[in-house]
Amino acid sequence: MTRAPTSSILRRRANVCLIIVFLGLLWMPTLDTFLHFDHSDPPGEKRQPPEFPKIKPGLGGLKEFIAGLDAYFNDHFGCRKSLIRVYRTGRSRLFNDRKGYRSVVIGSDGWFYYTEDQMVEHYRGILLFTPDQLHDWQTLLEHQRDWLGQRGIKFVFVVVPDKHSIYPEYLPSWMKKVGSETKLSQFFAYMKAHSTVDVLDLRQTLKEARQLAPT
Amino acid sequence: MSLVFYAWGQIDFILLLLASTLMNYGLGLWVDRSENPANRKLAVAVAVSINIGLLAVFKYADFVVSLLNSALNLAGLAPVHAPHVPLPIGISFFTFHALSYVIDVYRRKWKATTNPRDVALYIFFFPQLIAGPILRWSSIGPQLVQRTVSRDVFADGIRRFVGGLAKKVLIANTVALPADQIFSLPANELSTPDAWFGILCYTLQIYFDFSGYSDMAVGMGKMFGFTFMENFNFPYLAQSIRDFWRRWHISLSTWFRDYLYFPLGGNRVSEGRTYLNLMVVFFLCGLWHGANLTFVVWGLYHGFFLVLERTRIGKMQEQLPRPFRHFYTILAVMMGWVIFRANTFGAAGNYFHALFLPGHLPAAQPLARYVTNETLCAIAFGILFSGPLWSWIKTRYAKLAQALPAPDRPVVLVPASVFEILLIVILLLASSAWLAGGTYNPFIYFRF
Repeated sequence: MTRAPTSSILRRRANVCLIIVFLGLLWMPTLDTFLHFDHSDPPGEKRQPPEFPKIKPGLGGLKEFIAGLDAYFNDHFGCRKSLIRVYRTGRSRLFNDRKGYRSVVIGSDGWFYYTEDQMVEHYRGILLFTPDQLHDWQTLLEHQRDWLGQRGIKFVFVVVPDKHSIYPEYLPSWMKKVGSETKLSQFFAYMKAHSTVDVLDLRQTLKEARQLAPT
Repeated sequence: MSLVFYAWGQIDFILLLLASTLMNYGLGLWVDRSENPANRKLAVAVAVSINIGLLAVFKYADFVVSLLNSALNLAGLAPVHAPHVPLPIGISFFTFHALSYVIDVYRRKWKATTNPRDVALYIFFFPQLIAGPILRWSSIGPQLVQRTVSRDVFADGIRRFVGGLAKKVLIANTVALPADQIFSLPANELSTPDAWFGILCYTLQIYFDFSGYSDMAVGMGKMFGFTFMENFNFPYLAQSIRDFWRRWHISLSTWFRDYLYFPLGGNRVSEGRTYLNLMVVFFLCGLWHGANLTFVVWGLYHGFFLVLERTRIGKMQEQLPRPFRHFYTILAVMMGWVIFRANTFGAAGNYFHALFLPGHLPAAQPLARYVTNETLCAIAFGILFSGPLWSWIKTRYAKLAQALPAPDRPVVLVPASVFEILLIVILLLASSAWLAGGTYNPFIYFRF
């Protein structure tokens, strides 16, 4: 009887080890679901995790149930807390990135700025109103002011400024303004020149208030 | 299990697809049991018509109506109103599997099964259901009768699966974010550096995403004892567009070759007819990828290069030094991806303008916004692993071990095995962590 070459035996042993390790890792989340051995800190998400969905009749109900189950699973699968911790620690230690997030950019001193809804483009002054759009805003606000006025209600229009405008010094260096105008400055200038609607510009007040309470 | 997997993604059409599977099962038996050639032809014609008809209705009806309305609009006529038809996920893969079933039975490559569950498993088998590779009945049929699951094959399946998962999650998803952000920029914000960085990211994204899914499918197939066709063979190393299509989405290109190009006469006809056949095949190949004229033009663009490479220009190209041939191919492929990725011709035109005509754009988005350490790392690994680096390392190491006397080999082989297992564990954990913690995981096959 000939003996199998050493390399084949080693390969076979390595394969058995690999299978055991892989299946072990694959079962970890399921085991954690029942045994709760993942004691990592919760990821600190400021939202309520979805509850287990209820089954409702009909195809629509079934679709809703599947979507609900998907959302429930995504927030409750085993070892999630550890995996998120590995992701956060790994990403910050390996790459030390301040960019590459879909919804925020990270400025200096760990300041976060929202980037969805074209906030960056608004701040940089890339997106501006057309004269027609400004006129539409005027018409809309005057209509609302008059409608409320007929009912004895005073109308004041307030735009809450974005964090980018009030704390621009912490923005990443690449976020430079294209010009001096933004949609908001256009809006205030237009309303001041063309309308009697009370519009409240909080930007200067908030900037001054920073000296009293910086953040 | 495969049905649950499909229903989890989209339950609306599950009954329709099951009915279609049953129909194909019946038509397969009809084709198989008919001795009369005319009957067999009729049966396969019915099967092809119904399958293509379903694909046409669900995938292309909206597209045809929009084209028709554009033409009516030009002629000053009222548009046609047709109800919107939602697209069942993976219908293109589903249809091509079904067609392969009846055509392979017709060609007597493998017999029709008497068990409808076998047809359902062949078509719905979850690892390949939504992103391929496209299976052939002649290959899967015999495996349904007899397949073996061994420890070694299972372990190989794990290696392929984890490698594919890492390609998808760690490389493709990382470069997908800047690619998507840059491709959505309006013309006045898209600078030349942005555009080149965007197309580099997309070129890596589409390869690592698609080949990652294919690796996962091949790996899971192995774990269940199936051998699937390989779908990619380092396509970005191709020396010509012809070579590219021997390496890219092989299961699709060979499907078109065997079920369309050869029946049309392939290259055994006149030169002009061969060119026409190529253009027809690539027109349909483009259309297969999505119901949009940009996909059609992308297909024709590749068809044009394939025709060109059959002419004297192709002969001249073959004489060029290897780096030039590679540069030509990768550039042609990348420009093709611009057409493929852009949603409209206007967007593609703007992108080409940004790529080749640099100008002063005050509103341009700074490249620094998109270049991150993680993206650069993914790009570096992406470029390195676009070639057979891993298999080269393994081969060299195996040769090194073979050169040693047999009793000494464990000194080299044991650390290598331990390292490989550790690497697989790290890749699996990192991919799982990136999936759990990351928020960007695009699925780019919803139009297929």
